[in-house]
Amino acid sequence: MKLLHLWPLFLLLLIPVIIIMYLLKQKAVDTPVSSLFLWREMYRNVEANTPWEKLKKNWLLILQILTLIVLVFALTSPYILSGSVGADHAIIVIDNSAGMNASYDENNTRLQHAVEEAQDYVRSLKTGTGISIITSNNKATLVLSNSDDKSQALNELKAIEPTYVAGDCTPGIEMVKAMQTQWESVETVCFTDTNVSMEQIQGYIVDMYVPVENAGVEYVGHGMNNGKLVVLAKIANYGAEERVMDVNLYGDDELLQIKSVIVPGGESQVVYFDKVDFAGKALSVEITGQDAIKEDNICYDVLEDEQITKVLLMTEANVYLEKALMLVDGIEITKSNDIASFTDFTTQEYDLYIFDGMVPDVLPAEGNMMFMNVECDALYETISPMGGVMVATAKHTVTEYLEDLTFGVSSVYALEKPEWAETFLKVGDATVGFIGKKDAQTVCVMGFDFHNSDLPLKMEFPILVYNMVNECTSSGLIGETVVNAGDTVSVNGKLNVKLPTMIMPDGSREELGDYRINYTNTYALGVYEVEQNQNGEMVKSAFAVNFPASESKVTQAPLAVMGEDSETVKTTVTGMLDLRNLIIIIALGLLGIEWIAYIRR
Amino acid sequence: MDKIFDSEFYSKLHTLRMSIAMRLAAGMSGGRKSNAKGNSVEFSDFREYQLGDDIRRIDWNAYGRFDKLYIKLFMEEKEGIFQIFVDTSKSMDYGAAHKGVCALRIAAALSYVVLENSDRLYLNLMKEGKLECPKSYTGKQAFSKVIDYLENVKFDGAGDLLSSVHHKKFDRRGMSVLISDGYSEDLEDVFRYMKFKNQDIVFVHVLAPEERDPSFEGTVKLIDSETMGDMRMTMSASMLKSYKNSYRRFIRDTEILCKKYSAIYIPVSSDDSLDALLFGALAKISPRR
Repeated sequence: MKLLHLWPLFLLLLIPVIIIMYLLKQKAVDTPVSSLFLWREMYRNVEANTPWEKLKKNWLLILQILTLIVLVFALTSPYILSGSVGADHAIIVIDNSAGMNASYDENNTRLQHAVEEAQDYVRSLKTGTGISIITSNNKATLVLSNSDDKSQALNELKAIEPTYVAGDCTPGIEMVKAMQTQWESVETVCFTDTNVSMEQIQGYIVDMYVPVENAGVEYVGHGMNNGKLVVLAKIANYGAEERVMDVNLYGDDELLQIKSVIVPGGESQVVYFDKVDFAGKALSVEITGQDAIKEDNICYDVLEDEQITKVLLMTEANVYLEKALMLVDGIEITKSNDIASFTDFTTQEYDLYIFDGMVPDVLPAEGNMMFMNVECDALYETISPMGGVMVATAKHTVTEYLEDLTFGVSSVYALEKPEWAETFLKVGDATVGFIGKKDAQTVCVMGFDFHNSDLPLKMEFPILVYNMVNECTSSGLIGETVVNAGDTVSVNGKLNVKLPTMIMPDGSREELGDYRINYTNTYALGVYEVEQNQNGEMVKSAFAVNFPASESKVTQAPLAVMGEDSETVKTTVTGMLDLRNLIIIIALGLLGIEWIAYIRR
Repeated sequence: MDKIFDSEFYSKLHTLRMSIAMRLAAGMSGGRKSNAKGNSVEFSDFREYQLGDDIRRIDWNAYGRFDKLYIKLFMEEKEGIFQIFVDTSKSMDYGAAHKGVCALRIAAALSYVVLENSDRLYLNLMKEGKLECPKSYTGKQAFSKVIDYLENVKFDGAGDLLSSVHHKKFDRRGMSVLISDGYSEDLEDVFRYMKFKNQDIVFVHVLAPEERDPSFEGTVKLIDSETMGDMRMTMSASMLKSYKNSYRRFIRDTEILCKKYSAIYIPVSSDDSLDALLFGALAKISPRR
C-alpha cells in the first residue's frame, strides 16, 4: 500500500492536542465526601483489575485518537497497486497541447492531472518493465526511451511542461506505432482530452476531459479609417452559460479602451474599437473573468509599418498585367519599354522588376525579379516551345485556393526548373512556371505571354497575379506578423551584415544562426521582435504569437473519447485501488462507536 | 442542621419505652428488674429455709400455716450501666439527611429509655482520638441535661475510635452502644477492647443515602472531610458500580465483625423516619445476660 499525499501526516500533531483537550475537558469538580474510606477501597479493587480494564476507562479518548488517525490516513489517499500490467514494455503518451492547460479540478490543469495519473501508472508497473514516455502536441517528442528505472520515469513525467501549441496525441500515437514493432508485448496508455484513434495499438486512452466553462479572444485585427486606427476583436464564448465580459484594449501594455460585451453560450461576438489613438508597436485585447484557460483570454496583434513597394514593369504593352497590378495594394509601379536604359533604373533600387517579353543584359544585383515570356540564360534554361496546351497549377503558396485553375495557351516555353525553385504552373510534367529564391532574390518565371492564353479571362487571374507579386515583395525582416504558438516564422535578414537578433516576449535575446531561417521557437505567447543592424541602421520587425483558437474549444466532449468504447477509454489508470472511501467508512464507523460509547457511559 | 429534638421526637419517646425490653443482670439496684433473685420489694418465689439464709427474709405467715420455714424470694433490682459512644468526627457532618443529627437522636432516644429505667448513663463523645465524657446521668430528671448536652455537640475533626475508646475506664460490666459511620480501620480493635472490658456491644451504623448511592458525574475531585485528602476520578457507570460493590462489602464485613464479637448490629440510614429508627432499628436492642 502506498500513499498519494504525505502532507496530511502533519495533522497527526493533533493527537497531543486531543489529549490535552481531553485533560482540560476533565476539569475536576471539587466534591466533598464524608470519607474517602470506601472510595480508596474501590480504587484498590479497580487497580487490581487487568490492564485491559484499566484501558477501558479511557476508551473514548482512544476511540477519538483512533478516528483522527484513520481520517488523516484517509487524507493521504492510500492506494494499493495491483501491478496488473502484464506487458514487458509500457509506453505513456501525454498530450501537452494547448487544450491541456484547461482546468481539470480546482487545483490541477488537465496536464497536471494527466501527469499524476501517469505517475500512478508508472508506480503500478511491475519492476523491470521498460518505460517509454512521449509528449505529443503538433509533433511527438520522445522524453524517455525504454527505461526500467521507475524513479527516472517519475521525474521525467514531473518535468513535462505545458505548451500553447495546437495539436493532440496523434503524432505520439504515430511514434508508438513505429516503436512497438521492436517489442512483443507493449501496453500504451494515452492521456489526452481529445479524440485519438488507437487502431493497431494495444492499450487504452485515459480521458482527461471534464466539462468546463471557457471564453477567449479568437482574433484581433486592425485597419485605418479616416486616418484613425480601428481595432476589431472577436470574442468567443465556448461554454454553455451566457457571459458578460469587459474587453480591454491595450497598446504596448497601456490600457486604451474598455468595452463591455454579452456573449451567449456557444456564440461569438465582434467588438470594434473606433478612433484608437495609438502609434506604438503592438496591440492586445484581453477579456476579464475566470475560466478554464486563462492564456486564451488575451490575443495580440502587431501594427506593421506601411511600406510602399516600388515595382518596375518593363513591357511593350500588357493591359491585362497592368490592370491586375493595379489591384495590388501598397505597390508603386513604374512602367518602361526602354530596356537599353535599364541600368539607369537600377539606381532607383526597385523592390521588384517585372520583365515582360524583354530582359536586360545585366540583371539587377538586388531586388526581386519576375520574368514573363522571355529567355534568360543567366538564371534558367528554356527547353522547347509548345503550342496549344492546357496549363494547370501545381501546389504552391502562389496557387493557394487556385487548385482547380486550368487555362489554355497557344504558345509556351517548357522551362528547366532550377534547384532553388518550385513549380507552380505545369503542362503535364513540364514546368511552365516556377518561383524560388536565388541568393537573396526571389525569382518568378512564366514561360508564356498572357496575350497567348485565356488566363486573363479567368476569374482567378487577378488572384494569381496578386499572389505572385505578394510572394515577390515580402522583403521585410519577417514573413508573418501574427502566428499561433508553435508555428514557424520566416526571418529574412539582410545578407552580409550582422546576424539578426530575436527578442522574446520576456525580453530575453537570442542571436539567430543564419540570415534567413524558419524560426520555430515560438512557444511563448506575446510579441516577439527581430532586429538587425543593417550598416548602422537598426531595422526592426515584430510579430505576435497567440494561443491557438482551435484549442480554446475545450468545452465540448470529444465523441470518440467519451464514446461507448469502454475498452479503450478510461477515466483513470488501471492497477490502482483507491482505499480512501473504504477508510472514510471505517472512520465513520469509529465515530458511531464513539457516539454509542458516549451515550452509554 | 435540622432541629435535633422536636416535639414529635418527645412524643415518640414515651411509646419507645414500652417497646424496648431491655434486661440487665449486673449493676446496682435500680429500676430494672433483674433475672437474679434478690433484695427487693417485688415478690418472686418461695423456697425452704437453708442454713445461712437471712432470717429477716423468713415468711412467718407461711411458717404459721405450713409449720415449715420458707424464705421469700424477691426480684433483685439492679442499676444498669449504659455507655453511649457517639462518633463526633467531621465525617458524621454529612448528608442531606444529616448523619450527625440522626446519631444524636438515636443517642437521645437510648438515653431516655436508660434514664426511664433508673439506669446509669454515660455519654461519651469520640473526637480526634480523645473522649469527652461528662459525669454520669441517672434518673428521669437528668434527661433534660442529656438533651442540653447533646444539642451542643459539634461534629468536627478527624476520627480515631480506638484511641478514643482507650480513654474510657470501664469499671463494671455494662452495655456499650457505639454510634458511628464505622469509617475506621480499627473498628475490630474497638470491639475487641470493649469485649475485653466486659461490655455488651451494640453498634449503630449510621450512613447517609449519598454514601449508599452516590450520584456523581464527570470528573470529580473527592475531598475527604476529615483529612482533606483528595482523590481525582472520572465517574462512569462501571466506576459507580464498583463503589456500590465496595459499599455492600463494607456493610457485610461490618455485620460479620459484629457477629464475631456478639455485638448487635443496627444499620441505620440517616434518612430513615423517626418511627423506623425507634421502633424498628432500636427495638432490636435486647442484650443477653
